[in-house]
Amino acid sequence: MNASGSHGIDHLSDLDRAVLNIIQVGFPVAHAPYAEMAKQIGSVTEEEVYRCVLDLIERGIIRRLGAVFDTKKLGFMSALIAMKVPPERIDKVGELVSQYSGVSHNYKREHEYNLWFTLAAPSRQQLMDTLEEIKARTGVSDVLYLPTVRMHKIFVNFEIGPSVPKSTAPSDKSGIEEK
Amino acid sequence: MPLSELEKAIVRELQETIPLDTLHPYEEIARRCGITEEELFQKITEWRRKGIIRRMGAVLKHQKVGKVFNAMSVWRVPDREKAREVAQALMSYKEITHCYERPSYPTWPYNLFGMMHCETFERCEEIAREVSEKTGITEYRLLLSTKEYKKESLRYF
Repeated sequence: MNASGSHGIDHLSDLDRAVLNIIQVGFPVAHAPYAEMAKQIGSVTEEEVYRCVLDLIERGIIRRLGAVFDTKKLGFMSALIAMKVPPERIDKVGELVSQYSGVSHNYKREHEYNLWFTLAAPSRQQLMDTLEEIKARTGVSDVLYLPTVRMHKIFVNFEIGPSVPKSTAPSDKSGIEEK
Repeated sequence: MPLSELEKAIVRELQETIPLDTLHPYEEIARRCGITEEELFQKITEWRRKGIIRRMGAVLKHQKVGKVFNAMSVWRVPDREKAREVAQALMSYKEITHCYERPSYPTWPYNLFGMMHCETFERCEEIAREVSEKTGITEYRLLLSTKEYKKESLRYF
């Protein structure tokens, strides 16, 4: 996650930007989604949009194209977990934690609590069991269990300018949602 | 909300990247699940209405669109009302992508979390400083992520 400076947005074409600004808000739920996008963009063919999407995936700019589920509404429990790992063991513990399928995000951060990850499970009991197993396997006992008490915002959506006028660009604010 | 086997099969398809070798990806997903494309559209529409599906679309790799620094700002706020105020102040910045209240502990006093993606670390610091000045909350930290061990969408079934 360090800044390398090598990944700018300069290498995106106008079509890339137009496609990204649509596709991160909503990929059409339709028989011919690329044709729908082509219609929205204008003066571009279904085939060109399709090739552009494949290319953005190939280049790693799109990480995934599918449904974004609400973990909680699917019936899953999740929590942020912080661990105080001896610095010399951080990579080993980080990699072990990443092996769990319920862990989706896992970062090393600059703090005494130096490992931060999200853990999800079908029930609270299974979540706690997994956490106990992680503690036992890593020997790390100083762990913070940080479930969400209230959510104020959740919608990651980066506007990719400047080819789209601001007024038509997607909003990234979804307001306050209280849980 | 217990899901049927069919619904789990649909989640299993949609939690991945849609089939890319066709111009009609939903038709292919429906075929794999043993339903019609129309039935799949109905289920997706229902789940979107219920908020089970937040959106259909692309998840981008942030670093590749110029957002490089991932910092977690954490704030010690005294009560719910102040938490709301600080959250509102944080959310006025487009660099703040998520904002949560979480419990505090004797070894961890910070109970409000604002996730930032900024183009420079200085920008992250600037936002935190401005929010602190605006709200009077001075007990905060910025935890920069120095290594990403894993970042992917959750697989449910």
